[in-house]
Amino acid sequence: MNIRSNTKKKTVTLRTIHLVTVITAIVIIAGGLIFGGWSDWIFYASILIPIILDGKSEKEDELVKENMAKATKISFWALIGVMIYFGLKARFHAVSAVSFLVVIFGAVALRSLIFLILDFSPKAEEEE
Amino acid sequence: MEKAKKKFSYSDFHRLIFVIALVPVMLFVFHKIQGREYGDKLSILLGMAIFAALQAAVQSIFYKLEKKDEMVRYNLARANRIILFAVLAVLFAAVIVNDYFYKGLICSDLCWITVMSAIGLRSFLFICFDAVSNKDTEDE
Repeated sequence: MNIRSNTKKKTVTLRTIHLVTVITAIVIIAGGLIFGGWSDWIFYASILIPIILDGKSEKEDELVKENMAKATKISFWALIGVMIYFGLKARFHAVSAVSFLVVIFGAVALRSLIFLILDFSPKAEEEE
Repeated sequence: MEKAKKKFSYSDFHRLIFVIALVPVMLFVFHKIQGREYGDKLSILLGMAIFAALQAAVQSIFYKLEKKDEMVRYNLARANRIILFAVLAVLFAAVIVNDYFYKGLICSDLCWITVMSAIGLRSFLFICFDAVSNKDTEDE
């Protein structure tokens, strides 16, 4: 008998998911830059995320899909822009692995942040 | 004058982008296989930019780019999402490989190749999705 399947799972909204993503990414970037490296605490922090987000994810409607598409497009071109900058910089100066990690988490944070901004905009509130 | 312009579909546009972006990547791979240096990447990038600008000029004078419909937007969004996560995965893998297996992987070449491949593969995915949607529409 599976007890867990009988209990009703709570619904986790997309706003919560993306808010947690932004906060986690910013904490990881800031922690790495301030404390001079990413150590074991990152693994403990990543264990916390599925605990916070435990539940059934909210379904994506048309407006959410549109907003996610915009957010993904902007963060994709921002990432390409940063990579071009690194490509130019790396011709004469070394680019560290830390800056690559900052860019990776930065892109993830930017995507979620743009989604949240678009989702909280008056247009989205009107649709609701 | 406006009516005389031929229509230029998004698939044609992305076919061009695919070729422009993938040519330097293929040249790089062939040179690597032969064990030769590829040359200055910045001049190649400038050459590509000039080619792209000329193409844009020719296209705007003689052709009319079709309007983005819902299906084009949907297919582009799918391609963007896949490529964004693919680029992030490649960068993450590069950091791990650089730290544990091969020092010096993070360099100018890696950045250029990632950028070109990302733009080229995005267009390739869009062409594939667009071909499938067009076939579905024709079948219906």
